[in-house]
Amino acid sequence: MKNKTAGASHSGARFYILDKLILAALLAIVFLFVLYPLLCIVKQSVTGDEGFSLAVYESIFGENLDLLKNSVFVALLSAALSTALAVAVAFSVRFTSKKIGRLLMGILLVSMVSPPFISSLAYIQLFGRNGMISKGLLGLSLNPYGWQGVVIMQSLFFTSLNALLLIGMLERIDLSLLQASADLGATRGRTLYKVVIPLISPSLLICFLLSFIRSMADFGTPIVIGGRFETVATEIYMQIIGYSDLHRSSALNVLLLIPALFGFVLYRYLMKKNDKIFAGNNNKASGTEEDFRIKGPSAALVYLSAAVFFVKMLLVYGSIFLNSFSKNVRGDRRFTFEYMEALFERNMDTFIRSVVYALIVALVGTFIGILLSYYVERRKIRFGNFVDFVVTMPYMLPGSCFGIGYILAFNHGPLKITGTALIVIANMIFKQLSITTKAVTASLAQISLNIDDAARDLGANKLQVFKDILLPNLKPAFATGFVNNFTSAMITAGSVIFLITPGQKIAVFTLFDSINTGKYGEASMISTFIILITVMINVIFYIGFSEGRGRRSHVSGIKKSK
Amino acid sequence: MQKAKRLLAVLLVLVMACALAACGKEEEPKKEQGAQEGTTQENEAPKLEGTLKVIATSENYGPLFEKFTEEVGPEVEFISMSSGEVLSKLKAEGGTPAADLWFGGGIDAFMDAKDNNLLEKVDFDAAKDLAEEYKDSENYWFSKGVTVVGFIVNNEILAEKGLEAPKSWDDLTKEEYRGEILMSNPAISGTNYAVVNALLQTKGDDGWDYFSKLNENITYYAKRGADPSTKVGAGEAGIGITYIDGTLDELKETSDVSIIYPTDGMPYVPEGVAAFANGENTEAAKAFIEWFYSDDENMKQLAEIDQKNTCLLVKPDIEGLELDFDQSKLMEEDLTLFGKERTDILEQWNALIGDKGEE
Repeated sequence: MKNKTAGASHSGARFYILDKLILAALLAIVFLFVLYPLLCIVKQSVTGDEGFSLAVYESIFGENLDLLKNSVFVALLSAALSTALAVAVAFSVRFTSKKIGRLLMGILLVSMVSPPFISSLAYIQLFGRNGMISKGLLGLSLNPYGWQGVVIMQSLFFTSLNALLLIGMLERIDLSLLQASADLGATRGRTLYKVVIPLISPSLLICFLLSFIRSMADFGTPIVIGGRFETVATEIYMQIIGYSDLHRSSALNVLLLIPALFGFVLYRYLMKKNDKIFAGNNNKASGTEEDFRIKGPSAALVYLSAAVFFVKMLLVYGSIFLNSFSKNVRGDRRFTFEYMEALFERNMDTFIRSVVYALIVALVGTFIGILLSYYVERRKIRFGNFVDFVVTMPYMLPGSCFGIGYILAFNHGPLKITGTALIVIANMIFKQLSITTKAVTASLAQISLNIDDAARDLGANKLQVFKDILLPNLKPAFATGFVNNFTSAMITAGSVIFLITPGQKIAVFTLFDSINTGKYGEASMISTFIILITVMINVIFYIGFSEGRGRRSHVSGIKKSK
Repeated sequence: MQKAKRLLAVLLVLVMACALAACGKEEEPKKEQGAQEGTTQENEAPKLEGTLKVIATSENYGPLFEKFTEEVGPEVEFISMSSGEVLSKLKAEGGTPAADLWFGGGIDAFMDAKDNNLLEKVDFDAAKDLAEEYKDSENYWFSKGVTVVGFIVNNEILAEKGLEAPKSWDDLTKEEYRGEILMSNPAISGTNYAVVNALLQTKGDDGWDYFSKLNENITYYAKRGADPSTKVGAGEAGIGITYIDGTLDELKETSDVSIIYPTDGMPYVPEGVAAFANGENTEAAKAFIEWFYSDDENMKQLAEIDQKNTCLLVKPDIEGLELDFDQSKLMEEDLTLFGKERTDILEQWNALIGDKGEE
């Protein structure tokens, strides 16, 4: 390996050491902040009052089998729907005029920010028994509670992240391929199914997997609109909040990991098959700025689904916004600044603290994610699959459990970091790390390994390959990772509620407080405020990284740097 | 790339500015504190130092905590969490809690915490003035007030369906109310746990029979405590089983709802106050409890914040407060059973409301 860089053997050796050091450091922090807390949870589940005991497990499978079925059922539906919907949305954003594309992109970035509970509440307000649309407009009296509501809400909200991921991939598809397909006589619909879909299939797989495990771990949606419908995640919530039973809730987490593990293994297997499709496939952009808008029946389907998504999102966010500036006084909607005043009476420090935390999480988390998937996917380090699985695990569990895992792991001994900002930030970073690594994986799958080899043959070392070839191509992945990390850090409460000390409250806690006391007007106002801040920073970053991305600055990175 | 770098630089500067602003703000109150110490009249006891970390049930208690800081010394930092969350957190922390004082929450959680040795004994003179049933016999926990339970009804919905408002707990099982009643899961909501425990105590052997009849009228059990009242207010259900306090008056302004005190008695549950064992500043927590109960003005301020005067039940000799309801209408409850029976009752409850996950 090293003799390839014979001309610069001195710097090569230094790089070799640096390379190993970085890898070792990465693995060390992943094991410390992910695997160790998770092992503490497992340990908790097999610890009875008198030492080791498997008592909890004896009953847990039989008693919760129905719940597990419910979880898997909803997760499969939500994953399929949100992936399909995301394809439609991504196409509509990508293949449309610039102006409309930007508008849609804007709505999409707003819909990324879904503060806990509040969007489900808005949904009930719109489509519930006394809903503004269901009853006010259509005169229907619907019951929104049940698994259907859960699937609808999850599909809608998972679509945002999926679409963001797919748009990044679509941006990088070589338009000349579509041109070629058209020249060979394929209709646009056929091109879509035969050329575009296969090209983004690794991303589709990733979207499906992420949505599946996200749905399995989601307890917020079923709690608000599930009614009597319960899942493993809501049962874990009940065990923690209702019974304070750490043994049972930990064991339920282990139970939840089983289907997630199956999904993960299947995903790795399919990704491997995909590698072959992509080997030798140079998706370099040709720079043709053609209009590839699809037409015909497939277009109708795509645009209709996308329209449903955008309209529903507009309605949900519109009503959150409306609720923060008006109140319903006996059927009469009145404009009010009351909630705005209430907002500014609250402690504004929490908002500043949230933004600071979220920026650190977004920058550090995305950086770690990129490095990690570079080593796992590109350098194919040993046990890479295992590392990837470890990184994905926190995403598979309800947030509160990962938080409790951190207390179990870091409340004693040399590693006592509870009560510090570090533990909160670390928790946020590692809960969401898998999104960044998956986004990067999807991007890397589009860049042929041959390009790496070519660069190496031309004398570039691994660092140069990473810096000059891979990094420029990872911009969309970086943007997705950043937006996701920043957004979740701004709105996550479940995982950090157990880690925050009274002195370092973050904004989402003010939101929780007003929801828990039933002040929905105030809660809407706080949400509006959080959404505005988050979207502002996301847009700045997204635009910053979109400029000059994809079409031109592609594989030509080699030329630029030499 | 160039643009991105510039952007990064700008953002970093922003972060630093924010961080500085945050630091600056934290220092401010300390300075004020110093100034106040200088101006207050000669104080006999030396002031306590440090910070008192509080877990409360709501963010509204700020003014009360400020009063404590002013009169006794320690800064107060607080956060709101549900009792279930507090217990889970305490158990995970394994004996080194991140807070010093626990202010508010269903008394059964405090009993559970005491049994797990998570609370600190606090002896002080004024404790003898407190009603016995509302404090721990060994002074591990006290009460700051009482949650009283009744119904809230949406008059519009009832009128639409041609129904009269229920007057008693027995009325709730009438067939005409099927699908109209909302109740929170008693495992989540201390309020609704009080309903189950109190009605079981009152009805004796017929208790479970009552709840299986009630179960048929209830569409689903909400997983958050405030749901029944807010959802009845929003017109999503006709009847809600809810805590009753002044905050419901706000709902009355915006929607056509009425509050009903059941004629066959109101369940109630004390709201606890306790110092955590092994906290960083247990002294301050003890000082707070002593301070809080030693001056009626503090409890009056609390009554104003909580929008109810139930601290009168806890300390009957407070002057100038009056209960909003007839005290004799409270159900007869043996509160000592609240903690002991919880696990069994909830287990039986779960068996009664049907298979998990069934729709």
